Amino acid sequence: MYRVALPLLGFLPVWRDAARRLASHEIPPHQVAWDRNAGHELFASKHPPETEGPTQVTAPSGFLTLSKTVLCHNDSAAPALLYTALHRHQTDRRALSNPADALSHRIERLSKAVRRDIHKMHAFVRFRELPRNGHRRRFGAWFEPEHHVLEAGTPFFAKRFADMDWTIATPVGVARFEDGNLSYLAPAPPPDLPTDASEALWGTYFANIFNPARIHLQAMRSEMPLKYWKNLPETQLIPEMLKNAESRVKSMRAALPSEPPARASRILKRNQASETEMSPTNLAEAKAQAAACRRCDLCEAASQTVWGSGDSASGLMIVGEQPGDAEDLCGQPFVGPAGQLLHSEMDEAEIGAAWLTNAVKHFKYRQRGKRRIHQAPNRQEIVHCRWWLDYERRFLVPRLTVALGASAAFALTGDDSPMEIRRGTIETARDGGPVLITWHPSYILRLPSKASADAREQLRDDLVRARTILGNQSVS
Amino acid sequence: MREHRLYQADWLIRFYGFEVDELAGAAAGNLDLAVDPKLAWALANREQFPVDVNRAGRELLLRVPGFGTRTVNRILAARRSGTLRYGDLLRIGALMNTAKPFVTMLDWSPGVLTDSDNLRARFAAPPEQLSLF
Repeated sequence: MYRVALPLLGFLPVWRDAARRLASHEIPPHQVAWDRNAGHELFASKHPPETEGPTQVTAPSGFLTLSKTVLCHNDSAAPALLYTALHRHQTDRRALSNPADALSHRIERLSKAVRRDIHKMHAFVRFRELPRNGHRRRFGAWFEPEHHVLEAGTPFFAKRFADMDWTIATPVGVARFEDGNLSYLAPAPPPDLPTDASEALWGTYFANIFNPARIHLQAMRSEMPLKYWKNLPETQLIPEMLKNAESRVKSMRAALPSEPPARASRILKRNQASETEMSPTNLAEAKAQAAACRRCDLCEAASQTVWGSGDSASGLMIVGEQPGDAEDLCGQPFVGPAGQLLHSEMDEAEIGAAWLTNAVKHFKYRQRGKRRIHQAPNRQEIVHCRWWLDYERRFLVPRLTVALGASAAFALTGDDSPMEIRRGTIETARDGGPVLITWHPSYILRLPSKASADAREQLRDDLVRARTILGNQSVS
Repeated sequence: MREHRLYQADWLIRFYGFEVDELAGAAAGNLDLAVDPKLAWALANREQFPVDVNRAGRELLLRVPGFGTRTVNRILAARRSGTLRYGDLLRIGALMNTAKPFVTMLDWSPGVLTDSDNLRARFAAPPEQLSLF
């Protein structure tokens, strides 16, 4: 019987040397006792051989890393299991890589438990600040891991807290990091650590991120196992939080707002109105129904439907693209900058009163900061809104319609070819009336000054032409 | 649940060598909501089972319910070292409660279990009495 004593710290090189020498002498595992707490000897034993034996010992790649974790396990059988695996590997090269093998399976489970313990050590070591005696801050911690993971777990802290001095004391040894050097010392009784001011802050934070409505005791216990609780400051708060959780959920429920927000009634009213939509029989009815229109998505963002206005008996209908920011707020068409330009051109052309309206009745925009930037309506929106434009035309029966811009021209004629060649021509509307096509005033506002003046002149010419056509019609 | 079944079917097509027709054909174009798509396929194609774990190829092992890709890789690795038994599969991490009726090996044979009428009932959730009021 051979006996190998393993120290509490630095056990890997001791085990490795002993295992290599024993295996090279082909000593079977049952003749070796691995002793962690060097003490009682039940059987007469001898020390392992001092020199290497005749056999060349090999180990699979990764075996040393595996031994490093498995040896940390507090199961006293762990060193013997590893030696059994090494001994078997000398005759059966496939044994260790066989996932169905009972021994490899057991070693893998030990390794997993140790890796978990190292992970929990990284999570649950709680440092307290100590008075400094140099330029570096000093911290101390007391931690009780389940396995012998002090050596395997501390390099993480050395990397993470490289600019501080710290000490982690455990029942099996003390890790000390000073001026960038990590050293391991013999076990000492738990140090008397001073209270830390930030611990109260941490406790407050911990209590406040606790959600009483989402309690999952099993998950809580597996994330923060009870065995670590006694050295964690925040765990003292947990029983109280769990006890109050039910009453807190009740009070949260009671404090829920029971009244719907103010906008809900307006939205409900609008939705109900749109459900009772029927064919309107006159212009006022059409206007009332259009106010609750939900035929496309534009109504969601726009303030209100901008219905046409002006002289309904004049026989002239001027159709723009869609309301802008100013029109959306006041509910009248052509009151913004483009509308002002149109009104001044209408005065110049001495056209008098007309019915002003838009191809699309809701404002479409993109929010940029506080400003609402106009966006052209797409084909679908124009087609949806044509429903109202058709009713408007049916009730007004205009003798001439002026289409301002491409959107209006498309809505009226169903033709979306380019404006350059169409401007100034008279086309036939989908319902048969004449449509004079011209520029939109906001297009004129966007052009550079020279081209803008030309386009403005063309708009004025077209309006004069419209007046002439209307005049001829009324004479004849 | 439907979304989960779709994800499962997606996985089967990507990593397990299933075809769309096989999965959709099992229940007239719809995925079974009570059992997962692989199990549903195995229940509908019982003539292919039980599979001999020690002889079957990767494609066939991947079709056994309860065996994932990782289990199959481990089975193939372990077969190089010797014959597999029931306890070996448990250690490997196979879900033997699911796989039991569909595999055979030295110390396990499903017998009539593979073709039994109530096999589906073993896996599907038991029917629930709804409240009458």
